[in-house]
Amino acid sequence: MTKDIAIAARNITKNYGEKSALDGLNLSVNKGEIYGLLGHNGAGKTTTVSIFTTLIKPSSGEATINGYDIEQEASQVRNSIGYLPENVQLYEYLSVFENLEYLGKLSGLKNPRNRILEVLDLLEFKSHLHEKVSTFSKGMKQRVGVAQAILHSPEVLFLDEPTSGLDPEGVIQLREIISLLNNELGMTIFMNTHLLSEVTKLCTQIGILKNGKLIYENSLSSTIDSFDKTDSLEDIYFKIDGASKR
Amino acid sequence: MKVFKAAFKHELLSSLRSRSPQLVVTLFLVLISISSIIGWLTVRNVTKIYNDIVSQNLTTAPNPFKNVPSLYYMRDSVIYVVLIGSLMAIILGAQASIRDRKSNTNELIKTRNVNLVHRTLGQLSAVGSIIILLEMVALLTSFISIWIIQKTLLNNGEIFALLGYGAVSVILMIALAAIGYIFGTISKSEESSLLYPIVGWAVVTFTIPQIITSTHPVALLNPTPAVSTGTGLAQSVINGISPLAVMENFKAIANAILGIDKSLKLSMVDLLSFSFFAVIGVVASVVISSKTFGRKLDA
Repeated sequence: MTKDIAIAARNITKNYGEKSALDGLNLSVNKGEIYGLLGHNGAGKTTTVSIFTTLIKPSSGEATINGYDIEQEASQVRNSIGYLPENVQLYEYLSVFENLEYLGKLSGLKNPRNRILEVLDLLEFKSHLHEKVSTFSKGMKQRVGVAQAILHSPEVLFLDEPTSGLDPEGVIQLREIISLLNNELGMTIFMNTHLLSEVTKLCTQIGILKNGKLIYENSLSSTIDSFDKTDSLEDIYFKIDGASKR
Repeated sequence: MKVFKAAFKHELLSSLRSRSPQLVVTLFLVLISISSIIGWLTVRNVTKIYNDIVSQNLTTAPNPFKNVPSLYYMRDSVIYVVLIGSLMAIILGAQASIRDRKSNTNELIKTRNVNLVHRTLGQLSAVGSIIILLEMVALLTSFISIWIIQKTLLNNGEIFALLGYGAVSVILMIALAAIGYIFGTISKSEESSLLYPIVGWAVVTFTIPQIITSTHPVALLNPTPAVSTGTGLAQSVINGISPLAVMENFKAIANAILGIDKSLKLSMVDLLSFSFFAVIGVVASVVISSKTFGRKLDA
């Protein structure tokens, strides 16, 4: 394992009773990458993120985040990751500051106030500091969700379907935030999505998951180069997906 | 310690801003605060009727309420603690532990290094602080009410008894909040997190005293403990289930402290059963919730 690898999975399986959600998943993500994990609904994308974020344990196999084993060194893993769940839920009756102060303290920040202001400044959301979350649109809640995920300056950020349910303006704003976190703060970002447009605009590396198996993994540029120049990523996705059926 | 403090502050804010705890807290506060006024009205009305009867030469018996102790006016508050205070504590405890599962914020907590024991203790301490604050307000109101009614201040012994009664009430409610917390952790839905402990409370408060007193209905709402009646096998059954009658144990201790009915003696069984219940409730909630965040709630 090289020190440049942020996320590594070796032969991960996850079974729910007789149903297999992940079947021998192997993948690796270098530090500083934006990795897009593509797949149909039910392909195993959320299960993968849940295992990497220590929410669930794999049935077998090993995975490391920044060199820390997700089972043996779960505490170190949690310290080095941020997580934005799909349809993030916050404490609606609390203000942005109260939400972030609580979650910041649970992340180990002694006096989170300055860090909260810094993060909200970065996300251009400081003016909403004392507003209650219940008054926010989905896009605004997503920003607070991103803020809670990066409060403790994690090295790796996991985003589960981050643009799900956002309007076009919200999608653009979130895309800008993800680019900013990667470019300015050097965060490694791992995102689940089934939106190919997001992958094209954001990711440096892609993986395609199908029925719990990673059927393709490459950099976005190599992927595009290795297919017909007239092919869109959508065409490429269906070619790979179709080829796996044969 | 950071997690304890964060959970404590968060629980205070959440309880104060959630509607169900607000409602039951208000109800408890209003009822317990006016209990001494209700006690005074009862004495006044009975005395008025007694005086009418005496003026018609229908009785020569002394007024049963003559020279009642000052803390007699607190007798109704014992019932309000058993009825409203207990339910309030169960709701506060259950809401504290189920909140993150209900609002789906538990994934944000679970991906952080959160010491579950510290978190549980922080949340229970916050609920305990709310209960202590409410009890203090209730005691202060009672103190002032009795002062106004009797036109004289309570003496030191009575103030000490009042504080002792408040402490026992707080212990009972914190233990019930801890039990509510357990059900909030292990239940599959918000409804069952409240239903199971409330059914348990109803059995302890109503059914067991009924059995102890051989279905004497007055036992249910008396501020003084039920007197057991039975012989042979029935008495053995009564002796077996009496320690489970936590509310009756509480009434016995409250009666001994407030001196409502001096003919009733406080037994060691009452004291031990009550203490055991309080300790087990809090310890069990910490042990159980230190193992789990709770499973996913049913949709």
